[in-house]
Amino acid sequence: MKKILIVEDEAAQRMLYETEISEMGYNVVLAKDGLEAVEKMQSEKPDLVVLDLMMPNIHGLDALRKLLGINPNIPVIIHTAYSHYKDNFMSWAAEEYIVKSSDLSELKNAIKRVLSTRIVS
Amino acid sequence: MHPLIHELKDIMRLLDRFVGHYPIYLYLVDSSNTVAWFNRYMSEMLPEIHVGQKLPCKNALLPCDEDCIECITSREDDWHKHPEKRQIKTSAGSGTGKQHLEFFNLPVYQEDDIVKGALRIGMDVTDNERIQEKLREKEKRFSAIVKTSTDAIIFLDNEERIINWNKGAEEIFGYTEAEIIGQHIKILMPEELLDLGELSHIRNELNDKGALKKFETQRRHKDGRLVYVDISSSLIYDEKGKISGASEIIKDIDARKALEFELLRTILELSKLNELNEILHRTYEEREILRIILIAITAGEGLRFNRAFILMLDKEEQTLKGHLAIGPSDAEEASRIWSELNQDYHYLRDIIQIYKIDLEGADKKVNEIVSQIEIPLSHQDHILTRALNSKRVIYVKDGEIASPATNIADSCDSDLIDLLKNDTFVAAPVYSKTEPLGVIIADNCINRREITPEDIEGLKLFASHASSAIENARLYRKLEDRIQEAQDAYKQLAENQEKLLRAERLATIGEMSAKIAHEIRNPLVSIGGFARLIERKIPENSQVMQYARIISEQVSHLENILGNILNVANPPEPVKQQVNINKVLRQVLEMMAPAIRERQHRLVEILADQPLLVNGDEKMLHQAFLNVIKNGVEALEHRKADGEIRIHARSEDGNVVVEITDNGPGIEKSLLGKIFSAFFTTKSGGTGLGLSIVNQIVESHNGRIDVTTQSRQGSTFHILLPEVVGVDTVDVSLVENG
Repeated sequence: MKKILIVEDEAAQRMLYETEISEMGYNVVLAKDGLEAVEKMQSEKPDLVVLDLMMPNIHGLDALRKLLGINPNIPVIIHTAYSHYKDNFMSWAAEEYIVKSSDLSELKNAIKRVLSTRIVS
Repeated sequence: MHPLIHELKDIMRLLDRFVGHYPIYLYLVDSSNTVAWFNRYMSEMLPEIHVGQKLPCKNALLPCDEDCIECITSREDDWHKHPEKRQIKTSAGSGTGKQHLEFFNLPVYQEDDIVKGALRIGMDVTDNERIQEKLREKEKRFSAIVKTSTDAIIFLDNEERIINWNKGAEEIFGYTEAEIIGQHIKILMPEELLDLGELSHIRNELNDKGALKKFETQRRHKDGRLVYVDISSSLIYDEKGKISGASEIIKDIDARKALEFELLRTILELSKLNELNEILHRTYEEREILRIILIAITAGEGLRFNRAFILMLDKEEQTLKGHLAIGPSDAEEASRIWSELNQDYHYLRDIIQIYKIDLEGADKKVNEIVSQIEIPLSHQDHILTRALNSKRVIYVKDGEIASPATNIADSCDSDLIDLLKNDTFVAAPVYSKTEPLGVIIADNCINRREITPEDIEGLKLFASHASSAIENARLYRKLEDRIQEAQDAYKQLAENQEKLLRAERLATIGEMSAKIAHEIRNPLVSIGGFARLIERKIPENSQVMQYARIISEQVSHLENILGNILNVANPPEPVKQQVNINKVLRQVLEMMAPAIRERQHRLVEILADQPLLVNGDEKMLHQAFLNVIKNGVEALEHRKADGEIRIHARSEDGNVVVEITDNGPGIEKSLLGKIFSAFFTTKSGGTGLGLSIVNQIVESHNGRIDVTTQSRQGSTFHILLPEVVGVDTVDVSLVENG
């Protein structure tokens, strides 16, 4: 079973994603900020990271750099309320850039797509 | 006592008493010229006189001077026999020199008519003699003056014949005294002046005023040429007061007149220049200035050159290039042109106004010549580049440079001579304060009139006037360009004003709304997300599921609004690739069709058969068409069955044109300018973002949107997007997010 690390500072959303993504048949690990994400990255060794950007302590893009430092091959989906970080240089390191919506189908499609291409490659 | 006095003593005494105190000298001589008696005046004058004294000669009372001719010849004197007057010199008297006495000899006869002796009655005529001498001296001096005077001094008799002719007259008129004496004064007068009645004028003046003073006129020299003179004349009277003739003093004023004419000519030149200057500064057209200069150089009222050529400096190519020329190709044409012009026009300005340089006619040949002249500035030895660089007028005469003078013989470039078909001309530089502008060439190749220093000077002046006019024209043109630039900039500014204002307003509003939107989006994700979760978790058709659906739908709506706001505030850059507008429209209509059908409106699609390709962001274009069609459907809100939405897409003039027409109420004219502004809406519950997003998207695709509307008949939105020629690329499919 693929392990997905979801990094999200809002508790309600963490709960929502845990429920929805687990139902898709993935093993979901949660982190409430960048620091915890780095810890979980090392301890849990996930197959995919869904990363929020606007978080306390460390900005998501800095966290992204740290995560890639641990595993350069880890696929990351940026999942944020802001669309304009799309142009940021670091965002290019992520596989996907999804703007948050209460309709999670886009996020879910992206997870499926990323994990499936990874298997092939 | 002398025997004679004895006889005559009574008479003598009587005479002496009668003469009394008058200074009358009396003495009596006998036939041997021996003094017989004398009165006291005689003894006062000649203290040594005494009775019995034999007088030395008939002319003297005293012993004569050594050179007395009478004494030398010692002729027998019989003066006493004749009653006559004689002058006798004496050295008597004091200081002032010799005294002159005049004695009258009165013979004394015997009864038989034998002369016994003579009584001599004398008077002192010394004063008379002095006056006479002075007169003679004056006469001498006068005639010397007359002789040597450089003025002509002529005397005329009553018939106006010349009776006196001096050296001065000979010099002025060329006639010798012998040739002219006795001739009538008319011989000196030009016939035209005779015809004009000058002679009677002079006569009248003399008769009325007795004299004529400094009358300026012309007289004819022996060789026929006319001489400017001034004449002073006066009548001459004889001793009886009768007019005996007239004198004329004639001065040669040719030189002075020449100066006067020179002055007059200079004044005329100046006024000509002024006139030219005034005409020149009325225009700011460079070619027109060249035309005026050329005419002024060749016109009869101008410098009278036969031909003139203007070459201008081409700064970019660094060459002197022929620009314009004027002048006839032969003498016949020349006389025809100028006689035509001179008949009706006398002023330079008139000629300049009416004479057009005829490139196809009269001036064709010279313009052909001038167009062939092109001299690179690097050719520094060329006569024209030399004129330009040295800023000096160069006069070429017979193929040689005549001015400015050089020590070595310097000949002109033969190519130029060949081209002009003339080896005598003037090249004058045209230059402004800061830079050389060109060269004017002028010549007299038709009538071969010699080019004078005045011509050269005139050309130089004309060239300098041309320079300043050309410089002015260029400055003016620069100024005009600047003004045009400024006007364009102002127009652009005014056009941008509206956009800028809107952008500024949007920026502020956008920044604020973006902040709020993001803050709201996060909780909405949770609300909507859980509502969907609930929807899925509870049994179908249950009451709660319906409630949950309402929540999730409303959240979706809110999220849409937020997305639009964020788009306006922070428009995303389009990710462009080849997009088929037909396909986009079909997808949009597929989405909208159910809503249109539901409201019983008619949908008319007129799409092009061939793909309508543009370079664009498919998602954005989708959004744009969706917004416009939605807007149309909303406009039909109050219509029932007869509402219609018409979509017409086609290719036109390199653009893809999409027209979306509704037959709703139309848009009020006053609102037309605002419908594309953000937050402008007429609908309750509208955000006022729909059409402003459309506008933004169309603009980011280098397209254009506008709207035509008619009250109660509906509106048409025209969207123009630049069409591209299709290439086979993989059509990336649209990822729909509902």
